Amino acid sequence: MTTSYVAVAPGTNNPEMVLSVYGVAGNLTVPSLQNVTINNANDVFTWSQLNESAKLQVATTSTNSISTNLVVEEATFFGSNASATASSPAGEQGLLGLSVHKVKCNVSLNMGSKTVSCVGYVTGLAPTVSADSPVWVTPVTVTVSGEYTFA
Amino acid sequence: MRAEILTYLSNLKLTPFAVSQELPWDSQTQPLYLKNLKKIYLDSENIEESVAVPVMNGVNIQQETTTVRVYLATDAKNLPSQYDSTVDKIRASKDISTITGVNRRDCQITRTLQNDILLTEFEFQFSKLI
Repeated sequence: MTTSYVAVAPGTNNPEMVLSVYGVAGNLTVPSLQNVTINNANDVFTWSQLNESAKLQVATTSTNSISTNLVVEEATFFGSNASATASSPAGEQGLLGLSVHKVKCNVSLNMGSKTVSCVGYVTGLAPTVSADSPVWVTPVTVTVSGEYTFA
Repeated sequence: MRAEILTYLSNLKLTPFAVSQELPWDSQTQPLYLKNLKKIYLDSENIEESVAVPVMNGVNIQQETTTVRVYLATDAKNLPSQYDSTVDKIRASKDISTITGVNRRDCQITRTLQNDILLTEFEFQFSKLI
C-alpha cells in the first residue's frame, strides 16, 4: 500500500490562500500563513426509536469556515488602493477592505496537489503586536457560504 | 555594535581604567586583558540568526542577535575604588542611543578569579528582526 502524505515545506506545497471578489477579476494572494484550518462541521439531527438502544443520527447541513493566522504584510492587508470600493478587485481592497466592505469572495487554498475552493466572507481580523512578538500577526476567518469543491 | 560601544566608552572618563582600541587577543590568541590590568577590551561581534516567526511560504521572519563581549581585569586584592562605578558605566552601554533598530538589549556580567586577578566579563546582546 502506498501512502501520499501532504507534507508542507518552504517552497513545496506551502499553502497560499487566493481571494477574488465574486464576479470581479483580479486575485489577492495571501502568503505568510502561519497555520491553516479548514473546518467542515456537519449539523446532526438526532432521534430515538423504541426498537433501537442508541440514538440515531443523520448529518444535515454543514457550517464551513477556513481559519488561519498570518503575519501582516502591508500590501496584502491594506490593499494597493486606499480609495478602493466594494466593487474593486481584491488586490486593491486588501484583506481589511474585503472585511470592511463585507464583500463576497471566491477563495481557494492549495492542500498538497489539491485545491480547495469555496465562496465566503472575510472576517475575524484582529491584528496584534506585542513587545515579546514585535511583528504584527492577525487571525483571518473565511466564513464559507455553501460547500467546498475539490480539484 | 562594537564600534558604537567602543566610541561611547572611549568618550567616558574612566580613570584609572583605560579603553583599548585593540581586540583582546595577542598573536598566539592569548588574552591581552590578563596581561594589561585595568584596561577595557572589546571583542569582535558575534552574530547569530534564528527564526523568530515561522511562516509556511518559507520566508520566515528572522531574528538577528549580535553579541559583544567586554573584558576588564583588575587586581583582586587591591580593587580600585572606582571599580563599581566603572562597571555601572560599562553596563550602561547597553542603552546607548547610537545603537538603533534593536528591539531587545541584554547585558550579563560575570566575575571570575584567576590567580590574583578578578576578571569582569560583560556580555552585551542586541536583537532585531530582519
